[in-house]
Amino acid sequence: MKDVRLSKLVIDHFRGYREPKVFDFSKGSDFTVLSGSNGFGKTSFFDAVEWGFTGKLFRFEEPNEEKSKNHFINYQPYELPAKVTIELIEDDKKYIIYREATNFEAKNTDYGSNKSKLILYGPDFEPLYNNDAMNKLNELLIQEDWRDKLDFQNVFSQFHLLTQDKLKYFVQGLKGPDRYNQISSLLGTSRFQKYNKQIDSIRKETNDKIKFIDEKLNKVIPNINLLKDRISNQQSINIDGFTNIKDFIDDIILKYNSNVILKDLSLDEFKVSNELIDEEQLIKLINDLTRKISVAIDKIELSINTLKNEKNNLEEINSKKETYKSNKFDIKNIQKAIPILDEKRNLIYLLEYFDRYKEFSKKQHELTQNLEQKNNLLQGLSKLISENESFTSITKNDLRNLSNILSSKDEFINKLYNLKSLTSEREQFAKSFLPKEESKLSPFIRIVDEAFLELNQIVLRTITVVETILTDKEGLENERKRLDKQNDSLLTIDKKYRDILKISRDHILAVKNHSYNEEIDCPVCGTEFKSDELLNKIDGVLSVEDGEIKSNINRIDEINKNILKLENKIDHFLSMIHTTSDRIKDQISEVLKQAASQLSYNKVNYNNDLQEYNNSIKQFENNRQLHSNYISVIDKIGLSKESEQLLNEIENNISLISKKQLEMNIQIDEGIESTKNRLTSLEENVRKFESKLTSLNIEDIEEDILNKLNLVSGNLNNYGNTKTDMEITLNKLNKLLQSVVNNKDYKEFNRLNSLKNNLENERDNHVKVIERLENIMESSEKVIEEMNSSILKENEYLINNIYKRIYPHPYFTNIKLELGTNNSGNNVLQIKCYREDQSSCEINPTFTFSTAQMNVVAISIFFALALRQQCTRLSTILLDDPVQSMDDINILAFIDILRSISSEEITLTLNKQVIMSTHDEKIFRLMTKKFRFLNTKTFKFLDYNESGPVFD
Amino acid sequence: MLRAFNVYSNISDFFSSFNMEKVIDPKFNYIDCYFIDEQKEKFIFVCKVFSEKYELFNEWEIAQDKDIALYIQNELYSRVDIRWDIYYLLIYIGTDDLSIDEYHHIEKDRFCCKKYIIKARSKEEQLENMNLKLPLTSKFYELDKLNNLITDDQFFEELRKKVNFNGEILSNKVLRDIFSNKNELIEKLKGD
Repeated sequence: MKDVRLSKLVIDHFRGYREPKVFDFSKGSDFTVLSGSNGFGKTSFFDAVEWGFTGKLFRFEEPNEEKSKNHFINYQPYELPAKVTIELIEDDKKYIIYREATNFEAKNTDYGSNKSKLILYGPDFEPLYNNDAMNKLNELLIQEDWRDKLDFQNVFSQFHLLTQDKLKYFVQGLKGPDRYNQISSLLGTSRFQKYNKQIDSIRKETNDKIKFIDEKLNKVIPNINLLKDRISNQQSINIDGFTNIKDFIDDIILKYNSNVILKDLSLDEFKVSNELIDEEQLIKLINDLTRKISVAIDKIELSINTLKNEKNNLEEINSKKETYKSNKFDIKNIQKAIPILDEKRNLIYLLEYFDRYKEFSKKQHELTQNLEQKNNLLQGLSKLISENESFTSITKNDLRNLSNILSSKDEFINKLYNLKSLTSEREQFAKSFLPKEESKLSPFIRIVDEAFLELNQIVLRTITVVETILTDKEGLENERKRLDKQNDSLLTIDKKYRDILKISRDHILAVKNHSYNEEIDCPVCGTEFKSDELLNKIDGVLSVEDGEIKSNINRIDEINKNILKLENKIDHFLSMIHTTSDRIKDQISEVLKQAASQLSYNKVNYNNDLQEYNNSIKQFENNRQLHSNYISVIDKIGLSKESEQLLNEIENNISLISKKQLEMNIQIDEGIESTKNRLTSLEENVRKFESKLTSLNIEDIEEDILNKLNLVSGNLNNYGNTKTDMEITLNKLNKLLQSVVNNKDYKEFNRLNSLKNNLENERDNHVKVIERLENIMESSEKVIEEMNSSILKENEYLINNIYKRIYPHPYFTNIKLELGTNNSGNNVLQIKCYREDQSSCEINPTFTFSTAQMNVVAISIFFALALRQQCTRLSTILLDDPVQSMDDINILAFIDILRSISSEEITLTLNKQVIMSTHDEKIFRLMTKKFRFLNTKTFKFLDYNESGPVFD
Repeated sequence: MLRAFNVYSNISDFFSSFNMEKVIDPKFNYIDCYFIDEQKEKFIFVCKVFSEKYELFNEWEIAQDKDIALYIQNELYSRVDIRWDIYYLLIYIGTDDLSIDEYHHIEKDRFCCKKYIIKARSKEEQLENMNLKLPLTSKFYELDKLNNLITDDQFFEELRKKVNFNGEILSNKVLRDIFSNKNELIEKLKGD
């Protein structure tokens, strides 16, 4: 958003200006410098701007009686109303603020609210007047974030206009709290004060409510006290010899607190109050007492029931104790008789069924013998089957091996060796396998063994013959090999020899064709021969085959014929072995068929015999089961199982046991089972009785039962009496309570008391609200203080930079703004200066610095805040003679600061328009020099005459 | 202690960031050099390095008289306004401290031009002093920390933290318009 700048100001009939004067800042105005001697109208220029914007002048805002009687806004004498026109420019938009004084003739003052009218003109709205104009001005000049939080009228003077009056007033004139408020206002936090005002208003309202409640309470409390006294008097009665309810109750409490039974029941003790009590407390006490007595009665009732039960149990035990003793005696006798009766019964049973057992015993003996025979038979068959299966399996295996050997591709001699090995092994097996006793399998074994034996012998014989043939054959083959080798060597030499002869012959023929000489030297030995002769000799040699080679070839042919003969012999033997083997195989196969037939027959027999055997075992077992009961009785008594001996033993034992029964005097008519049942029933009765004794903690049934009965009866009496007493007391208390509650005064007392309680509660709530409201206000002040402190801290750097640059004091070169509270608890802002090298050495510049130095302190603070403020959009800063009392060096530094505002980098952000004045001609000239390369405008006030200021 | 060479390296860096040129004139008898803006119309920063205190006090004035007043102001730039903007930087690299009075003696001197003693025992100290004293720096206004408005809601938040009871009962809605929400506020304040 673009900032708003001042582009033109027209002052007419305002203070010292009698004629309209136009100040045009539109053509270049980073800096505007006004110069002129004091009294030429410079300050009125700044007043005009302030009045135009706000309708006020800061320096006249202090209450002053004279102010209300004087005219100082309009030019005097009063000709026309004072008018100030301010033209603002925002980008390409122009706004015009027109303010005109409304009272320039009346005798009362022309300064104050409603003493001027305001008109605002803008490019995009109709002219606005007074408040509407002011609102629009706020909208235009206050940044969006701060809108509705600040009023431009109030902040203009703080951020845009620095006058000597204001600077002095801030540092020297203001008290700490006022300064705090002003800085708070500058920093924008003062607006939060409004919340405190609202809270305070509620606090006052609430305080009024408390006062109202207090008045009501003051009326109610005396009435309550009066009723209380009356009720206290009414507590006098005549009951059970007591004249006072409290005494009666105390007596009841004491009586029950000392009651042993109640102590035993662990009931809460009743408490006696020594203090005087009012009616309400009395009712509470009676209620409490009746409640406790009711609880006690309930508990006593429970205890009585328990005691009654205990007494019934004891009486029951007492009546049954004789039966218990008799039962115990009977149990003892029966326990002794039962084993004897049991044994006698068993013996009689054995005697009764002895004949049947004897017959059974005989049958079982026969069956046992039969089973043994069958078992032997089965074993024999089993063995035979097993041997047959082994024999068949081994023999089949041998036959398979025999066929494999014969059909293999091995050399014949190797086949023979394998056959020899097979037949030898078979022979060994036969020796081990052949049963010692003759069996049905023996003929088969013998036939097979003989067949293999025969084959074995043939094989052995053939081996001897074949081995000889093979040795001969090998000798012949070796010789043939040697002859072949020898012939190979001879043929090689013979070929070379013949090649030489062929070459020599060709050479001789060639020489002969080219020479007339008949003689020729042998090309091999050099001997001289006749060429034809030599040719014939050579041809003779070439035409005859070598004798040794020929002899060798003949020999080799002969050897080959012999070898063939030997091989034919071997083939013959091979054929013979095959024939023999086939015959033996057929013979053995026939035997195996017969053995298989026999095996099948044996298996059928075996199964039949096995079934018979199993049937016999089943029969044996069935018989035994039928007589198992009898046998188990025999075993139990430990008698012999042999029937003859058994009978004797039974008879002897019967005689012995009868004698023993007689000796022990056992006379029981009923059966053994009935006796046992009776014993069980007696034992159960005894166990139940003893369990009851244990539960009642009775050890001695003669003494303990009677003692306990006496004790329980006594307790029952006591508990009953106490209960009756308490029921009577409860009845009395209830009647008493009814009479107290029905009391008229008491009802009124209750009503007023309730009213009082309500009022007190309400009051407490209000007090709490006030405390919290005060806490909110206090906290709000603290928050504002912290916020101010934090913002000031942020600004302190720039304040100090400006201050140090201007350098007004040689030692105290730092400014510190310190927030705190004064003795009255108000927030204060203190300005302090301290030395760079001794931060602890602080002074208050108000009392230590010169006026000029003080000005620099104030300028540093205000200028820094004015430069950095972000709440208004007006970029103009008006400085009325800020260097008035500075020395030259300070002035130069201040000018440097102003100049740097316009340095390119900073202008982009700050974009400030500075309008300042000076009364000093030299400084004005210096400024024009210093600002020469900036966009600067000057207005020189040359004089002041009847029409107002005179310009250059 | 910084060496004069290092000092000038730092100074050159500093002024070049403001587009200023360094000039060494053979006619200078005392001062080392000066820096001037490109248009030669705004600033002249005359520099002289002093390594001893006695040297500083013996020579600063004669250097000003001869080289600045007589030569720069009256010969070199005698008819142009830049002579009003001559700054004499006395760069002191010595180890002896200067008292405030000693600073004042030189810096408050009103003759001829503005003088600044730049204490430069280290590069940091040198730059800090130049930033603080020279009218060139850009860190003067702390532009990155311009004040932002503290909003009502921020104020309410801080207030809630500050009160000695459960601040949550003070809602923004109630605080924004306390009068309209008076009864609600009172009821809440009565509670725990």
